[in-house]
Amino acid sequence: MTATQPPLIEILNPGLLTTIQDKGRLGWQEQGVSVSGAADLNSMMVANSLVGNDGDAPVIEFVMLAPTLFFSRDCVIAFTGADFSFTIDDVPLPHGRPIKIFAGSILKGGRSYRGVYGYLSIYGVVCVDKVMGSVATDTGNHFGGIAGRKFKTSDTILVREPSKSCAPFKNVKSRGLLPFVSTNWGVKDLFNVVTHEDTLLRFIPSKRWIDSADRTRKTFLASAYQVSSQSNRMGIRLTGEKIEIEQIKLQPSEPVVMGTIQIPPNGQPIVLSVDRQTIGGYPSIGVVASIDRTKLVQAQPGDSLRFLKTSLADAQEVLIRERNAIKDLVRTITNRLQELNL
Amino acid sequence: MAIHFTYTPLGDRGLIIETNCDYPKTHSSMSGLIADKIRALKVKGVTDVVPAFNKLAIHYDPMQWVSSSLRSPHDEIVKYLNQKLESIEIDAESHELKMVHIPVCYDDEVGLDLLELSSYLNTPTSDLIKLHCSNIYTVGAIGFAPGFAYLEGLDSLLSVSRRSEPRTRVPAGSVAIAGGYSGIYPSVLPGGWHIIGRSHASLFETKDSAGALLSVGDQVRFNPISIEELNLHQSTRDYK
Repeated sequence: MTATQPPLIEILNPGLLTTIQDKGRLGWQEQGVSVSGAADLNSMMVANSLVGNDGDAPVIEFVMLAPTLFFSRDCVIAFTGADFSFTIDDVPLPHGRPIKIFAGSILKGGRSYRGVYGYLSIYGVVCVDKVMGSVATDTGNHFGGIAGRKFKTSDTILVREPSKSCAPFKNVKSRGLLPFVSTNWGVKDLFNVVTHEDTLLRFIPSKRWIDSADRTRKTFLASAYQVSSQSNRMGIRLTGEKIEIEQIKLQPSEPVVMGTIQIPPNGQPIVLSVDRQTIGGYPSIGVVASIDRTKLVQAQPGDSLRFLKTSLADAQEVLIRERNAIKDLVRTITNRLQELNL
Repeated sequence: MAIHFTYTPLGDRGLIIETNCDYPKTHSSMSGLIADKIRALKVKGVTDVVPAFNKLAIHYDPMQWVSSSLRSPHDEIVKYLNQKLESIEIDAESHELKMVHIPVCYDDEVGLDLLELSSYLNTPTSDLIKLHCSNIYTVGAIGFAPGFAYLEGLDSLLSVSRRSEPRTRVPAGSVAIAGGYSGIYPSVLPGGWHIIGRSHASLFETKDSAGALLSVGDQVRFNPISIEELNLHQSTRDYK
């Protein structure tokens, strides 16, 4: 069946760092394999549900500068995450809504003014081989996605329509005045609008935090940290007030997680992100709460972050509430999509 | 042997387990052993069990541990693990650790830093090689890159710090030492360890079933081979 279908997408311009991602490689950290996956998992899930896919189906992730793509046939897509601009024939596409586009469309990607990571979901099955249970692109270790690397010009992507297609806008066969068809409803941004104020990140302190000097803790809590342009999918590097913490020589490495706050010898914190290694040697003062993952990864270079201590019980409670809210949102979207085809 | 476990949160989706137990072998073997036991429990919501030296981490989905009680998911999973682990018997004396033999060619054509180390340590290369291949090592942790094992048990004479100038491309299979550990680069990687030899052993494959040759707690022995033997094997292997 795939053989008869031409590639759906051709990359005309790859953008800055465009990759295929899903929820990541789970179960392989014991062998030193990074989790990878979408940096902003919530945006990935919502993008998928807007086109009627499973929440963790493969999506296209882009960073700071979005790709330009050619579509060879009619297709339903959605954008979420950072507010990248996309146009077809100079007409801007809406963010957070299911959009039907037509064969021959060129989707021109632009910059993001707020946020770092954007997501494009495509109705159907993105045909990419799984490596260790996931299609997530790990550019550091060169596996997953398209040959373990970021997109380049002329790459093509096959997307298979499920045999029993229930694509949204199934009965919409041609464009109207606009070069695409969309809904009059959509999903608002999932992360809070970053205004001129600092972004507040809750964190769960570690044992090293409890053992560290009063002055160290006060400095960390009272300071604003700027996101450095050296940040990437491995870690978010911060610059600001130096954190004095004893670096124990020959301290064996310890397991780390998404959001681990490390203090290297220069005292400038690094918050570990999706492509982090599985263990780390720098002392860690805590872990950013999962509820604030989106705010953390979407902070742009130059943005200001502050840290707020929270308890583990509170962090888990708000996380559960958020997950339930997203489940409700996905249910609402699914129902609305069904109404489209009535 | 009764073992007492401590549980420390690692953010809101993970926890670190440590034991107070004096294991007659090594801490790493103990972590590896407990990790195996925990994996066998198939604990709901647990995605990864990651032993590293004297600790092990459990990565879990707190949504799977929501209860009607007032306890947090963390408290729920700790209660469950504690119950299960309490009854675990570890017969340390009779527990057989897996022994993996790794062929290494110590020719200075592939042991790129051997001569430099020899003059720095003021020891002939033949002695350095003997020191390296006569010890039995324990896999303390796997990290840095897929399949990269930190091997404990290096002779203290070989305990050198990293190279002042790290290499941007260390050849795959390079056997190296630094910071009190020995290691083998599974693929071409940047690295700052001193390279003393090369192995054709395949340490990591990105196939779902194969994965890594070594696990935390395994024992490792290096068997010296000639450059001819290395080349023979390397020519049949596809090094990236």
